[in-house]
Amino acid sequence: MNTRNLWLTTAAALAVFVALDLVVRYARFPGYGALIGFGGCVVIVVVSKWIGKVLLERSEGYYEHDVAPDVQEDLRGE
Amino acid sequence: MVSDLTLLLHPALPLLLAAVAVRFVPRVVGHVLMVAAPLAALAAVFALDLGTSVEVGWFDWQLEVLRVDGLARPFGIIFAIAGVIAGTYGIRTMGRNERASALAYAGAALGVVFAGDLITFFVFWEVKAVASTLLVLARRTPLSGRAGMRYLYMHVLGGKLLLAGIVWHYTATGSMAFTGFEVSTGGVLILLACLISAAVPPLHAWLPDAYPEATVAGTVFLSAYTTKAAVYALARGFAGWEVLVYLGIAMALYGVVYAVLENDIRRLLGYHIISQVGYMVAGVGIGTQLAINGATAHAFAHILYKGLLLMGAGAVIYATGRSKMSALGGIANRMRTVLVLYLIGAASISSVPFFSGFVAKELVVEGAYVDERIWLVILLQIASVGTFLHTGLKLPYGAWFGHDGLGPRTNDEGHRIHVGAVPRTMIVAMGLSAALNFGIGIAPNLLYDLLPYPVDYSAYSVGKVLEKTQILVFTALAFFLLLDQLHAKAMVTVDTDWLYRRLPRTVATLARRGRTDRDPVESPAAPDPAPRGRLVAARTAVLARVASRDPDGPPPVAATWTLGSVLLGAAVVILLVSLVWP
Repeated sequence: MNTRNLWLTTAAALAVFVALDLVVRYARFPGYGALIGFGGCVVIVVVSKWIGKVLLERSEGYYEHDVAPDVQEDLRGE
Repeated sequence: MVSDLTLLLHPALPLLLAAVAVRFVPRVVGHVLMVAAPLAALAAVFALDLGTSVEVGWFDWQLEVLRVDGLARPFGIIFAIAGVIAGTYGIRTMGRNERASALAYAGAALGVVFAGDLITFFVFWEVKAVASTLLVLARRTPLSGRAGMRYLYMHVLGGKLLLAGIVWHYTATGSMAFTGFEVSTGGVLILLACLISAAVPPLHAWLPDAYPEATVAGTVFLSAYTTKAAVYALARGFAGWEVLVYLGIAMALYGVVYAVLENDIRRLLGYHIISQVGYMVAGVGIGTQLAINGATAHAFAHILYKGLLLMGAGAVIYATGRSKMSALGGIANRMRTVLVLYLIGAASISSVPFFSGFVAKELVVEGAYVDERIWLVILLQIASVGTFLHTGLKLPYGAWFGHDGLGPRTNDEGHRIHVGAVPRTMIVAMGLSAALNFGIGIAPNLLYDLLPYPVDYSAYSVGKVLEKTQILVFTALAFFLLLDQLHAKAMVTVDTDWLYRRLPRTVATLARRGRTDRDPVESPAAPDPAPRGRLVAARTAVLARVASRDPDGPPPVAATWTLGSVLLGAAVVILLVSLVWP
């Protein structure tokens, strides 16, 4: 699915769920779940990526003794 | 001396006996023991009536070595079930020593849960720490050796804090009973020990450091016991301590942030253990009956689905020998059963309706809601979004699909990743766990009837299901819109373990600044006269032997075999003398 179709699906889903919220009357406000789900996801990704970039990420050899070799090791026991 | 025969029903007993026996019996009998011992423990938990209490005199104390009450029982049941599942999973992969450590670890965890006094609690707590370290070391790689020793140091620190706290508490109150603590120095020290074991940041770094380095089955055992035994201890001793609410929500979000950046599949799941335990710690901090019920139910369900997820990740590692998402992908077609079972675990942890997470995790959120902590409800819901994002979407996408999509259908021809066969016992263990997750999801009362307090909560209403579905659907949509940013990068992240893995070297480098690294000019030193010369020669020889050890061998601390045996022998003698003391 390309990005345009994804946005269209998102808009359609929003309309459906807001309508359902208006019928069921459980949510704090119509579309609350959409806000938490979509907004939460975007905030988590953006904030984490930003913290990672400025503070946390290092190259794989940072702890020099602890570089796992990328070979397909055989883990089967006896 | 012991006279009460009820003690023979202690659930830790079959596991500890099997831990010794499995070292000597033939391998095939070991297969049976790995499943039969936890089953016997499960039977013992069900055979014991609520309110059972067995006291044993030891020196001046009456130790309550077995106490079965509403809080201990659900933890005991799930610990025994986890032993059955993880034992089945490990049948084909675990060696003798690893089996002995795993059984001793599970037994000690049950001992912790059923301990009614602080001395028994401390002894089992320490056995648990040592046995779990051996489980990390059992992978027998240089990486697991170093991670295991770092794990041991943190847990030794926790054990010493616990001992100091117990002694302080005993001196102040004169009581060895393990009940709710007052705010006091002793109580705070014990709290710190429990926080280390529950992996509360910034004391958590041992968990994502060590768990991914253990064997595939070892990690399944590890994920079940240490943090959840700590949650039990917090619920027993510190229910309603307000600080736990803030620590809990910080944990829940902290794990989510790190999981975004993580590349190693089991380390990602490790960060999600931290996030999930955050819910339980927050529930304990709220401290109402509903919230304690929620924390217990969540611990119960969490052990089931986190075990399932780690078993799925372990099966990938077993079949491919790789654990980084950046080196995986395109294997979905060749691991369909494992993928489906993993996704059941992912649905459970993401609290998809009709799976166990929905009936357990939402109980904690309900506890926060009823206690009128709206900000806590919202933050917990956001943390839950992160859980679905990583374990439900990012990990399966990165490990099984990735750029290569579904991958070749049958054989390995022309694909960069070879996929071996996964043993049937692993699939059986995963299936068992998946069935329990689904069973609890559709019949929540199976779980609710076990909880410490009566439950007046109906998990399913149209509104609740609609709200959760809405959150999940929009998380998935946002995930696919952000997919370009979410591909795993071949990077590592620094965590608070930097303080003991890198800082010492940085300081040493600073202190050495200005000095040269050139070798000193060779000039043969005159040999010291005897007897000092002999001592120097002997010391040089010992140092050379230590330095020349096999790089893949055990770390030097574990290599001091003679000293260890003498200390262990002395401890056994002292224990025996203390037991027959008048």
